[in-house]
Amino acid sequence: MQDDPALYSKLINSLDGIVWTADAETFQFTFVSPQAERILGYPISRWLEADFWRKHTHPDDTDWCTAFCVDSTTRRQDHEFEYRMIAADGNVVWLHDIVSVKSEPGGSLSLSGIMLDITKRKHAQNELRKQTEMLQKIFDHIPVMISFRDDTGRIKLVNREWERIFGWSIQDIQKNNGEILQEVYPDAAHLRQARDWIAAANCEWRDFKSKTRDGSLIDTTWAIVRLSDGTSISIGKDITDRKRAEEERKQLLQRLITAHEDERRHLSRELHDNIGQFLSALLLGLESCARLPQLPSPAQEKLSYLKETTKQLELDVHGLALELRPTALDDLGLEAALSTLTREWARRHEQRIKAVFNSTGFTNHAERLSSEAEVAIYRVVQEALTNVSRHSQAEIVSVILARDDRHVQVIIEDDGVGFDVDTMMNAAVENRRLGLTGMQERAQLVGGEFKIESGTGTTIVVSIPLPQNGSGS
Amino acid sequence: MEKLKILLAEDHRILREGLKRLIDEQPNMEVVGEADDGVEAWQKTGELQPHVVLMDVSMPRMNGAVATAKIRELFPEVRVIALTAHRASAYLSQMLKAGASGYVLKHTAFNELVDAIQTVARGGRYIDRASQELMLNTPPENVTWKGDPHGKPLSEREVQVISLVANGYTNKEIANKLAISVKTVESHKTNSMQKLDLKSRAEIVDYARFRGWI
Repeated sequence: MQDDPALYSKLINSLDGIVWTADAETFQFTFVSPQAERILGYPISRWLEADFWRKHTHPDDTDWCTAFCVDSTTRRQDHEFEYRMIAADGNVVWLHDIVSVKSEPGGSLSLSGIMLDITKRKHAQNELRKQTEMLQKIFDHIPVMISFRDDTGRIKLVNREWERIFGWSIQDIQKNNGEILQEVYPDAAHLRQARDWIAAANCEWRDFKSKTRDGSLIDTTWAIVRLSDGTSISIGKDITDRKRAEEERKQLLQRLITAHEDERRHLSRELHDNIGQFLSALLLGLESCARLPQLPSPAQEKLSYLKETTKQLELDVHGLALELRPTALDDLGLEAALSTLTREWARRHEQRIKAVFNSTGFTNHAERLSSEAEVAIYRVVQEALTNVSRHSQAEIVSVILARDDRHVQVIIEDDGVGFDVDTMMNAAVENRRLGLTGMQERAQLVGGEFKIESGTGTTIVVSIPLPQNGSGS
Repeated sequence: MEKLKILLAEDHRILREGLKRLIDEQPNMEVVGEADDGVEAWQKTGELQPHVVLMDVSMPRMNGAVATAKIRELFPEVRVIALTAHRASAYLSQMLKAGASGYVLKHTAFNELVDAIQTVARGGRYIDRASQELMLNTPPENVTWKGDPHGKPLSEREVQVISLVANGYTNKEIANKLAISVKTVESHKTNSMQKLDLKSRAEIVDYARFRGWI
């Protein structure tokens, strides 16, 4: 190669690094390739000046670089090292310098080498270090539990928050071969759920009841992400306080609803059983008067008018009682009450909307649902039917009540124009015309699920789990 | 001719007295006893052997339906007329199921009640005009499937969709289950309803029950 100077210089010029030779004692360059000018900005002539290298190394690096080079050269050892030089524009350039020490035929030493510009790599390394540090700080200080698992599901690392909340340290876990789940979920079924969920790693949040080292039960919520190498990161929060607040809010709301319903029932009963009965008695009394012999005809007319008025009053009182709280719901149960509600509703909309009612699983009349569940379902149906008559332009609406061993489900479906569910559910409070959130809340308060879909027509589904025998609740 | 003996079971005293006065005015009727609640009603029926019991539906201790069923079981010759303020059809059917021969609303004109007593005493049935209207003007309580349609048979997919609908799944849930779009579910549903001449989800449920899909 050296036989062909053209090829040789072409090769040197094409390298993305500075090829150089220098005096072994003074470190003065005797040759630098043209890239030197591009990388550091000094003309080649300056490079060849005495002491150029030492003068242009970074002040922090000058001393150790000189000492290192002197030492290596003395021992006639090839060496490589990384250091900084200051470019003509004042910027710092990182260089990786590979140096070989050669004995000349006369016994003197010469140096030759290649400097590679590694500024970009150094910056990337710095950036990475900064990021790692940042992540470490977040990991240590964030009030969120984080744990890392290897691809077999064993815990490799947990953060301080995890240790603080659960009470075990990472050392404890490591001693136990990275296993902690059976301590946190002593119940076999819960343990299986947790394992399945970790294996699925589908990024969705899910709530768990977890046991800490001191034996107390806490509510936690977790999400798991799987990394490309099969390891996973779990992120969790202690939501015991939030759960308790939610529970208290639910209880409060249920108490409020119960009080409200009790009040309405009381008023309804009062109207029905007391005022209504007095009115019936009054009507009978008037009737009895009207039968008196030899009544003058003006008196007969007056009595007839009073009878009609009393009758109308009685009808109004019963109508009001029905609106407040249908006695059928308390006396006869949900199926009868809904059947009556649907019929009465259909009667009012005779010309416009048909209503059909269908029920299954209510053959045993003695088996009543809890009063809360009955009221919740009844009110949802009532509200849904109100929506149907006001907004849907439907021709037919179905009310379907079904009960099996585990659930009671009611579906209200119409064939009307429908609406955009998301818009309606997320509307500002004052714009919520359809009472959807109210229905949802009522269903959820009794442990039920509320679903609504609207497109061609609207379907509302409320499903409430029934207490299971042996579950003790 | 022997007067018709009547037992008044009504917890509201004033109303009871009003009724008693009017009934006693009738030449061929007399109130032989009064009961404050359902338990008293069937016990006094045993003691007094009335021809007809006027039974309030809502009473303390034992409601009118239970008392009626008990009386019809123990003293099958005694007729019961439900006398009530409840205009709801559910009460009507409940009382008829319990064995009442008549159903009269409390605000009904008194001569209708007299008619009712005479009719049931003769072994007939009497439902006052307002309650008859209630029965006539409303659709049947449960829709019934009208028999096999002559339309085209359902495709396999339509059968899947319709039976999921009948089992309480929403369109979205069916779409997820069958991995098809909601629009497709809707069109399967509409097409099958047309083929089977079903007008509503309630009818789908009924049809599916007939088919044994539920």
